[in-house]
Amino acid sequence: MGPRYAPVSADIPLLSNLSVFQNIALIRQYHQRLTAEDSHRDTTALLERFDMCHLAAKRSFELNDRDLFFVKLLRASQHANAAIVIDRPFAQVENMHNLSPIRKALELLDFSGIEGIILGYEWNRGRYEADGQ
Amino acid sequence: MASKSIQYKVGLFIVTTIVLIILAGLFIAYKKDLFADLAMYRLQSESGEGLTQGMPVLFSGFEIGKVKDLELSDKGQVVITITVPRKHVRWIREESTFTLEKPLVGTPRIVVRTENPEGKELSYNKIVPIKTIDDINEVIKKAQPLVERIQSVADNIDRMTNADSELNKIIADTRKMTKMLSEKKSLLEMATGDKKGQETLMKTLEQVAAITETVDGTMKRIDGMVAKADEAVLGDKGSIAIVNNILTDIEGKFKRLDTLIDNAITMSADLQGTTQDINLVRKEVEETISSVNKLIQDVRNSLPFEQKKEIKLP
Amino acid sequence: MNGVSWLEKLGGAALENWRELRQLLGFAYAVFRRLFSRASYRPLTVDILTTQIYFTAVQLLGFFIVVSILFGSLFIGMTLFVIKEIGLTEYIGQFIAGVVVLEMAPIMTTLLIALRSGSAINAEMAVMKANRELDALAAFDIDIAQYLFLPRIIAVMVSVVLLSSLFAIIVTLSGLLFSALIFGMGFNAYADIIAKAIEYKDFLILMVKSAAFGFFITFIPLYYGSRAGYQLTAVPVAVLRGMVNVFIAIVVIEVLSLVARFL
Repeated sequence: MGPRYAPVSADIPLLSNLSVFQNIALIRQYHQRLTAEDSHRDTTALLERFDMCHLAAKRSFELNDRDLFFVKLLRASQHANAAIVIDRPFAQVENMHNLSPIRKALELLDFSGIEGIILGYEWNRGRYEADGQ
Repeated sequence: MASKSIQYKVGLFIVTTIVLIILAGLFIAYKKDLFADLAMYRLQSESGEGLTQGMPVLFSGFEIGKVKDLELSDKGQVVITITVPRKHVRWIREESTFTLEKPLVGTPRIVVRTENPEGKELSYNKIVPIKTIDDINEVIKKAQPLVERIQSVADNIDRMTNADSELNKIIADTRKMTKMLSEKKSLLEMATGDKKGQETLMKTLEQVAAITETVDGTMKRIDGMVAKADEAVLGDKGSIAIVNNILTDIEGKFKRLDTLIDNAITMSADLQGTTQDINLVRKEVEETISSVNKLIQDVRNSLPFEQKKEIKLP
Repeated sequence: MNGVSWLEKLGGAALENWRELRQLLGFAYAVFRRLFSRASYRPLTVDILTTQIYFTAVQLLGFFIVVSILFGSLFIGMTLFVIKEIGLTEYIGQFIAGVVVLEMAPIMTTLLIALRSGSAINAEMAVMKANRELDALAAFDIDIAQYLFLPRIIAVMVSVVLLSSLFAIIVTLSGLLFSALIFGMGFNAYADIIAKAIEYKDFLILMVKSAAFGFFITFIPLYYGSRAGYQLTAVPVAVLRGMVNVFIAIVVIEVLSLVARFL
């Protein structure tokens, strides 16, 4: 089996007939065969950690681009043993000036041991290397 | 993911429907006497033809049992085991008759007839013979002559439609004629050669039509007259009836004449002798008359004013 | 020259259709195999299944019962009347068992569900394809046959089987009303006639036929929906093709079941 990737991309949307909660829960429910109860518990904890519980019942079209990006990131984080591939983050979130929100998010995810790949354009190098915010 | 309410509704729907299906199944099983205590009887038939497992056993048109099993006995006969629920056992008695009916329309069935339901119940050990009524074969037998006639009709048609048949010749001739007709404007033109002749002929045909109408009317009147004549001649009070009466009358009279003639024959035999005597008297009278005639002639001759002078003596 | 191009077109269309049919049947077989694989089933499947049964059968139930009573009663009433007119009264049982239970119940249920859920599923898949949601599932290594197809197919199969049976029961019961009105027949006599005419294999045929209908009226919309293009304009085309093929499948299954019954 080849390397597994968990994409966070504008071309890989959330499922429109599922809520944010269901989109995130789906990955582990499918791959780890979690029951609805287990999945509910884990996903609720995750959303609480990101302070995103208010988004749980929303559908993708109700989200702004920033929320949408982080929901996608949370979804990608649920794919066990897969490298998170973030595709042009600055293109996905307009008002993001550097990578620190992503870094924070990855820290909150307790993201360790698995590769994270960020794909972007050369002309955005400054934003990738900038700190702060 | 599915809410508790959805899970509850779906569960209720599935359970209720399955319970309904099971209840329907059980009800049918009950009605099919699947839970009933069954009595078994044995019948026998010369042939297993038309017999099948599950075939209904009817009493008064009502299904009271089924054929459970068919077996071939050592004697080469078919032993039929039927099952009848206990509640219908009263219709299976020792004197009951069993008939295999193969109706023209519908499925074959075994029909039970029982005159006395109070009689002794049929025992399993007693094997009852079964009669067969085969409607289909009856119909086939009846239809056989008809089929033969149809066959002969078909043969005739075959002969008629044969390549060398008269019919085909007529068709060929008609074709020829049609071809000829298609080349001319009309048959009349073809026959007369000019249009005037055709017009004249058309007028004549119209007159003929009028004449035909008149003839039709006349024929109708004649029909009426014939009907009346029929009535007059053949009716209850018609001539034939009267003639019949007269003939009957004449027949009676002839019978009476027969007896008269018989009498006349005997009388004429008696008369024969008498007639011979009369002949003799007649001859004598004739001779006397002849002598008197001569005498008168002599008297005339002897008178002076007579032209003839000659007097002959007797 | 014209003749040849016409022939070429005809041959091309035939080959294209044959290829498509083979793909469809091949995929149907793959999905069918997954139906019997334990690995295909996870708690998530049951969850989606429940939701789908809710949308397909429970939401429809009220309307379905009304249609069954109205249409079924009308149909059975008219037919019993005709049966009486032509003097075939002794075949009431066979008529109800053969026509209502085996033919009308599954076909009516199937038509209703195909029109309602089949078209919805077809459009849902086509929209998911156009929105690249199917690509999203593939990106997360989620097998669309297991996640999307299987629970929907099973849900519709279960719904058609249960609703067909319900239809048969409701119509048979409404037949009681008309038998009483037309023939003056009591409940017991009617029940006897029906019970004698219905065989257990009729139940089995009803179940198998309904399940086959359920499989194809879901699988075909799923298949054509998932094969739609990425443009939104491809959605109506996918729905159109899917639904036409659903209709063809219904006819084919009906014919096959009739052939199987009378062979």
